[in-house]
Amino acid sequence: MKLCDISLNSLWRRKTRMLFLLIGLTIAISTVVILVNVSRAMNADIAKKLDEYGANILIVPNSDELSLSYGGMTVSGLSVDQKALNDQDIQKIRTIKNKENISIVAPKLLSVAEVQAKTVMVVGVDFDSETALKKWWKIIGVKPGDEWEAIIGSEVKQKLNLGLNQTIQLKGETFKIAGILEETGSQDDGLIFIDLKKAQSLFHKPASVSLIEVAALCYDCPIEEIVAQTSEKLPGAKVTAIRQSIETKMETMHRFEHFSLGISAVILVIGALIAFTTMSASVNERKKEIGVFRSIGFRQRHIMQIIFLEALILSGIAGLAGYLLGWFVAVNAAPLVGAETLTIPVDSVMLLMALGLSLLTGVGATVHPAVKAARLDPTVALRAL
Amino acid sequence: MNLIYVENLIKEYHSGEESVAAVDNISFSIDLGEFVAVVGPSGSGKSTLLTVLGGLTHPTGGQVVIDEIDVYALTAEQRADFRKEYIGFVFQSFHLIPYLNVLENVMIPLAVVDAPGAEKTEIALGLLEKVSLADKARRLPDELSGGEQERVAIARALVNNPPIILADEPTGNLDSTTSHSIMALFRHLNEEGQSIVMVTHNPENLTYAGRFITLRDGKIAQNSEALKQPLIERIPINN
Ligand SMILES: Nc1ncnc2c1ncn2[C@@H]1O[C@H](COP(=O)(O)OP(=O)(O)OP(=O)(O)O)[C@@H](O)[C@H]1O
Ligand SMILES: [Mg+2]
Repeated sequence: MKLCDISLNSLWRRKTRMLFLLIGLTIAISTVVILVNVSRAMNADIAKKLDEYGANILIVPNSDELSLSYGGMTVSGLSVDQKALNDQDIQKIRTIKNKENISIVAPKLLSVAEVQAKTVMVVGVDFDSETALKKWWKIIGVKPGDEWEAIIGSEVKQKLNLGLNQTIQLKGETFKIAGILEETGSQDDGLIFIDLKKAQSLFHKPASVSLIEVAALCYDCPIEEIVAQTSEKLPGAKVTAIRQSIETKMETMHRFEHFSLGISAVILVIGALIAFTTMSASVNERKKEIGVFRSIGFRQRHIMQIIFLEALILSGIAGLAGYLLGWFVAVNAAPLVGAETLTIPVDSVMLLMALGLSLLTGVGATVHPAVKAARLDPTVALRAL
Repeated sequence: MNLIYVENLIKEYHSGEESVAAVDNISFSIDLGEFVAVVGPSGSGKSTLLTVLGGLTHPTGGQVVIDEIDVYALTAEQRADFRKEYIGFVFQSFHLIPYLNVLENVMIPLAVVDAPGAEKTEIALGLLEKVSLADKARRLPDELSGGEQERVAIARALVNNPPIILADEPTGNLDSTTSHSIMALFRHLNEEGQSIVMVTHNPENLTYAGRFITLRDGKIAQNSEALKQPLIERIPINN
């Protein structure tokens, strides 16, 4: 016979009364587990798709001249710019504190050239990073393999009446059209893309870059943070975050997270209230019994131990049941709220969280009833009933 | 040597403006091994006196010294330990814990004692044997008769082997036959050396005691000399 035997027997032989608390707390915990699970699934979903949304940071040289903007691309002083970015700046981006969040760095050199008596913008790019950045590109033909090959936009193809594997003259040099972009609906349609190194030599701008597009793969760290870190590394450049659809989605996500947090808090408060009323009623019901325990020589501490142990056992069960129920519902409900690809693992961290919250709620709500029980005047308690 | 020594004990209850002295400045002492009956009309302060003796109710004034311990000089938690060590309470309405079986009820006081479980069970079973309930050890209280419940309560009061048993009308809820068997049990315990203070309404019960204290309006109206021989042994009661 120990104190815990008293608690266990009390719970076991009065289970209908405690069922209310158990169910209330289980529902509360499962709701929280559902919300957290769904949030997580949605976040994971977004993170997975993040790099499909292209660049979200644009780096251009700081310039006193007015910016030339075209279709969202800002091009500073196309002519001569002493402060132009260069190849070293590209390396520097990879040295910021959040460098593991930098997914793609795509430098570009913008120049203007005459092709068949028409002025066209020629962009020197690193084809590997460019195609990684622009996953939506559909290239008819192939990605250029050497510096004499180029990709042209669909508009260039039309206006200049060019075809695959034909050649064009740029600055007196001959390039073969290795690929043609299917219409993208962006500025890319009107551009000719050649290798960055080739462009630098062709236009006599060795090692210089007009702009750098960066894709930062970070769905929860603030993009502003990365922007600030990059600015620090590149004092001569202007670093800006580009608002894109992903941001709207992330904003929705964050709003959902805040909403979940609020709902969870409310639910837990309700759970705590249920635990509080049930335990208070239980203490009231057991006044006489508590008087007996006290007259027998139990200390106040022993009375609290009995009551806390009951709360602990109930909360523990509720935490476990709530976790399982929440997991089950989340797995079935997550697709309904827009998380398309998802796997919700049975993870121990979440289980511990559910248990922790349940114990915190259940045991926390029992503090007052337990203290009240311990402080009961034993003679008054014995008189009750 | 006095086991219980009470001096100028006062216990007042306050309700609103009025204050009632349930125990009004009384002094007496009880020796080790005595069986004292406390009698008196309803409202005379018997129960109040008993709870004060048992360390449950802080008196308004005066002293309760048990085994040379000034009970109310102790802190509340020390007094709990004191009760565990010195006092076994038996109540009129038994006050068994409904969700514990007979054996567990008897063992409750041992729940805060450090000892192996088997040892505790052995002690409790021994006491159930003594009160002739060993065969009903696994029953719940509400499956027992009133007399059986009272015997469980007595076994529970004895389980810590306390020097003093305080009983408040232990036969108040029982028919006369059962009352006599319970009183015989108390008598038997007293003969084994157990000190007992018992509040009772029933004059018949007096015959089992070795001495009686009569209260009236919180004061001692009569404090009988200790009898050499309990009345019961001189005036046999047929039952
Ligand atoms: N908690 C209390 N608050 C106020 N007054 C009380 C309280 N307990 C007892 N009293 C009063 O103290 C007096 C003595 O009560 P007590 O219960 O000790 O009498 P008693 O002799 O045990 O009576 P009975 O034989 O009916 O059990 C009574 O007048 C009663 O009303
Ligand atoms: Mg009384």
